Amino acid sequence: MSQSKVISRLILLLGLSLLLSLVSPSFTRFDNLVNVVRQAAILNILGIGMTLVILTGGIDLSNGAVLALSSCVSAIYMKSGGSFGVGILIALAIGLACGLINGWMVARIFVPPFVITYAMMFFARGLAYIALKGQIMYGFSKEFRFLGAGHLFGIPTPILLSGAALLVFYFFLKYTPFGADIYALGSDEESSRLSGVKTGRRLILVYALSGFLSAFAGVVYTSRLNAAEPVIGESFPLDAIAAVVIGGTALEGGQGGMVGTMIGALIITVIINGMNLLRVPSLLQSFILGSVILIMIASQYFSGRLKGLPSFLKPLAMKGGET
Amino acid sequence: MSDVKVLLKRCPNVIFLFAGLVVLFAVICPPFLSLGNLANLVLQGSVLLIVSLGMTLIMLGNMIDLSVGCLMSLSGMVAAMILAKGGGTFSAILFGILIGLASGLFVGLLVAKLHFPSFIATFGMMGIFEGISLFSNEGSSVYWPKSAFNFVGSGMLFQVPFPIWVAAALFIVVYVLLYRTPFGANTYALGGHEEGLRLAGVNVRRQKVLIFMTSGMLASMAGLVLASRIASGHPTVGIGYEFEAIASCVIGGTTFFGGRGGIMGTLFGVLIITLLRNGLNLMGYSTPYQYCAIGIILVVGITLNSIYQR
Repeated sequence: MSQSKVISRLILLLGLSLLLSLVSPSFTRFDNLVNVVRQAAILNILGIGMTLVILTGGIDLSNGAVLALSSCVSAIYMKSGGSFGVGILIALAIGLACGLINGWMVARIFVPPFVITYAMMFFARGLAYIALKGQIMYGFSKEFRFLGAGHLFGIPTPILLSGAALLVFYFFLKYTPFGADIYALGSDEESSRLSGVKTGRRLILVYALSGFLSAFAGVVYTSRLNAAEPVIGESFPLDAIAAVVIGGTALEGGQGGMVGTMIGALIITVIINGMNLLRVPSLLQSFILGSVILIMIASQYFSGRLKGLPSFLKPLAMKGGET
Repeated sequence: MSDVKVLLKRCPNVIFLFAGLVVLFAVICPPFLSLGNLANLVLQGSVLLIVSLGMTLIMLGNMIDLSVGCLMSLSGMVAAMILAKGGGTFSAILFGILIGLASGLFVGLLVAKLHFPSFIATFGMMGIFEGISLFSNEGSSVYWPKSAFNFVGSGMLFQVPFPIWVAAALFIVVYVLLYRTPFGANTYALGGHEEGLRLAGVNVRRQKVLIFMTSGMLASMAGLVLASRIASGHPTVGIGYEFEAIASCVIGGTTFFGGRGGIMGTLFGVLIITLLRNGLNLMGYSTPYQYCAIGIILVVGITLNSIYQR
C-alpha cells in the first residue's frame, strides 16, 4: 500500500464527509460521528479477514452467515446460564471451524473459494435458523454487553477492539514471514509454491482467520445489539468486499493492505450513514453497494487510459501497486 | 441414446444417488410416492431446470453467475408491475425477458471486455438487482388482476402443467444449441482452453457475452414462470435459486473448471435437488434444513467430481 494511495483514499473520505455535512448538518453532530466510527469498527474487523482472503486471490462470502451462526449458538449457551467467557470462546471456535472447512476445501480439494464460501453461507445460516428455531435471543449480561456497548477510557470498546485487531494484523502482514507468504501466494501461487512456501497451509490459515474474525465481529455485534437472531449480517459480505475494494486491495490478489481497508470501512459506513440521514430508502442500500464495487473495479481498468486525471486522484483509480 | 450412454459412463454417481434418494424417501415417507406428489415434484423442478440450463452454459464456459436468483425476482416484479398497471400479457413477458437479455449483455461486457472476475461482477449485480426489485414496490409484493399470464405458471396443456412444457421445450432448445451448433462447441472449448479457442480464430469476447445473454434470458423466463405460479411479483422470491442451480450443475457432473459436464447431468442434478427438498418438506423439515442438506450435497458433489478427475 503506497502512501499516495492511502492519501487519495483519505481525501475521498474527507470529501464525502464534507459533502455530507453540507447537505445534512446532523452528520457532524458528535454522537453521530462516534456512531459512524463504532459501526465502521465492526465492518473493519470483518474487512481485516476479507483483506487477508482477497490478498491470496480468494474471497469469503460466508462471513455474515458465520457471524450469525456463532452469535446464535453462543447466545443460546449464555442465555441458558453459561458464563460469557465460555460463550465467547464457543463463538470463536465455531468461526474458526467454519473457516477451517472453507480453507481445507479451497486448499486440498481445489474448490473455487467463492463456491465453497457461498455454500458455507447457506449452510451456516441454515444451522443458525435450526439452532434458534425462529426465536430471538436478547438481553445479555452486563459483562458481555461491555464488549459492544461499553466504554474504556472514554472510548467505545468496539473501536478499541477493532483498533487492536487492526494493529495485530497490520504487523502480521508486514513483519512476519506469514505476511510475506500471503502476498507472494496472491501474486503468483505456482511460483511461491515452487520456492518452498507451503501454500496449502497458508490458505487454510487465511480462511480460518477470516472465520475467526467473523465470529469475533459477531461477538462485538451481538453485544452491541444486545440480541442475536439468524438473519443478522446478511449484507456483511457485500459491505466487507466493498470496503476492501475501495481500500485499494486488488481482487486478483497480492496487492493492498489493512490501512486501506480501514479507510474503506469508514467510507462505506459514511455512505450508509449518509443514506440514512438523507432518508434514502434502506432498500436501495444493496443497490448502491453493488454499484460501488463494480465502479471501483471498472475504475481500475479505465485508469490505464485516463491520462488527464490530476495526480492526487490518479492512485484512486489505479490498479494496486502500479504507482 | 448415445448421450445417455455417455452420461451413464461419465457420472454413474448421479443416477445411483437419484435412485438411492427415491428409495430412501419412499421407505421413510410413503406419501412421497403418490402420483400427486410426484407430479408436484416435477412441477417444482421445472423452474429450477430453466435456471440451471443457463447456469450449465456459464459453468461450461468456466464462469459463474451468482446474480440469476435476484434477476428472477426482478423480471417477475417487472412483469407483475406491467400487468398491475393494465399492460397486456405479451408486453409483460416481453419486458421480463428483455430485462434478462439486457442484464446478460451488461454482465457479459463487464466480464469479456473489462475482464472482471465473473463471480465478483455477478455478485455486484446481485446486490443491484436485489436493491431495484426491493425498491420498485417499497419491499412488498405486486398483485395483478387475473389475466392470461396466470396460464404460464398454473395452466394445464394436455393434462400436464404448462411450466413442465416450458421447461421441456427450453431443455430441447438448449440441448440443440449445446450439441448441434458451433455456439455449443465454442462454449465447451471456451471452458476447456480459452487461449486455444482464441487462436482458432473465434471471437472469445462475443462468445462470453452470448453465453451470459442466454443465461440471463433463461433466468428471466424462470422468473416469469415462478411469478405466474405464485400469482404475484415478490421482490425476494428468487433468492437461493442461484445456489440450487449451482448445486444442480455440480451434482450433474459439471465442474467449476469449465469444459466438462453437460445438460443431461444437470437434468438429474435438478431432479435430485428437487427430490431432496420435496422429501425433506414432506418429512416436516423446513427451508433451513433443506439448505443445509443442499450445502452438504454440493460439497460432496464437488469432492466426488474432483476425485473422479484425478
